[in-house]
Amino acid sequence: MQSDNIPVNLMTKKQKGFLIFKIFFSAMVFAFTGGSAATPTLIYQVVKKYKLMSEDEYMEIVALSHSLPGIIGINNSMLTGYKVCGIFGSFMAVLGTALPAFVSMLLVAVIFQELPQSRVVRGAINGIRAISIGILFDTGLRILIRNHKNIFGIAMIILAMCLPLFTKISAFYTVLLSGLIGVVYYLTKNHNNLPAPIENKEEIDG
Amino acid sequence: MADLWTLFFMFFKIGITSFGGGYGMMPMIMDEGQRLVGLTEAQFTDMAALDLITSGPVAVNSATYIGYIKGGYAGSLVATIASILPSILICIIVLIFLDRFYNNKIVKGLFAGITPACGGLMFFTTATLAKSVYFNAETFTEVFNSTVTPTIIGMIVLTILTVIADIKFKVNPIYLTVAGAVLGIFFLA
Repeated sequence: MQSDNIPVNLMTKKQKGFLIFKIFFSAMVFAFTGGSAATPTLIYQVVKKYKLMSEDEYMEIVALSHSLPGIIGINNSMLTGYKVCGIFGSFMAVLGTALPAFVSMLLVAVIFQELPQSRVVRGAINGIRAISIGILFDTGLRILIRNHKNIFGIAMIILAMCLPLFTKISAFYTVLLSGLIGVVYYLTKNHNNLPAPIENKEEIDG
Repeated sequence: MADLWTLFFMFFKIGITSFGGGYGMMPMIMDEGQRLVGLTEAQFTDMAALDLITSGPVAVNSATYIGYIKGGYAGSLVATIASILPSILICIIVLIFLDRFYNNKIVKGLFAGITPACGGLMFFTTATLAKSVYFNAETFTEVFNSTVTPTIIGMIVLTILTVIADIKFKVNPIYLTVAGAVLGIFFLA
């Protein structure tokens, strides 16, 4: 790519847009376990190699994208792209993030649907399903471990588990309800005893 | 086949109310998937496993997979766009009101409540999946009445080993998935 030879501050808006697409696309292609796996690569590319912004500025974006609703990887690319070259940058960064995820999953889904129903395939699928349940359980376990000293946090974990399990309330309304409880709690209690955020600093750093 | 509007509505709704990225969305994908597009627990478990071996954000992968199995190629595209649209809209709002949003007490309170709730919802999800994936049961009473086969014990042992390998030894989930497939061929066929 010719854009490698031009310093970023001399680039046109179009060149910056394609550079940001290339950065996010190449980082996401190799982020197999999820968007956060791309964070170390993105820090290297955005901050150290192309010097699009300072490390502090980029880490601020990473922290903000973790705390917003929606998809962390898409939030990150929206905010990074915008900072580099406005709406066009946002568009190119989101495209670079979503495209590898869409194409790779579509390929895998088509192959997975066409697999023959043999004993071997069924065994492999059983194994993968068992692993998958373990990984999902761990996600809950990590949040529990992080909140183990926080009574409000533990109460919310138990409430959110029991509501959809034993009543007809869906996960969607459980989330809305716990948000409401959180707002009431935050506005009435002291602010030093809040549940730990979903991702801590070490996880963000990769 | 689910119609495209239902898929769009489902993933848009999930995207706008989920915190903590792909895994925060999992309980809602399972719950809303069952209610709106007839997703089975086995299909959901497959999706969660395939998320680990495909590139990019887990939430986008999940939308693509469910869109594809419930609405073909058009469904996969619609679901993917619906899942990323809330992020785009929220970021636009944040870019306009950045400081006011970040220091807002209501927003901080929302996070304080929803973050631990995501943990509880994950336990709900795993309990539901364990019921149907291990025992092929519809209700929990059915689980207690079912006969325990070597395959069921094998899968439960594999799940426990995964929890230990992931939490204690921080093994990369890609290797765990591959190991699960290989062990499954030998012991769970």
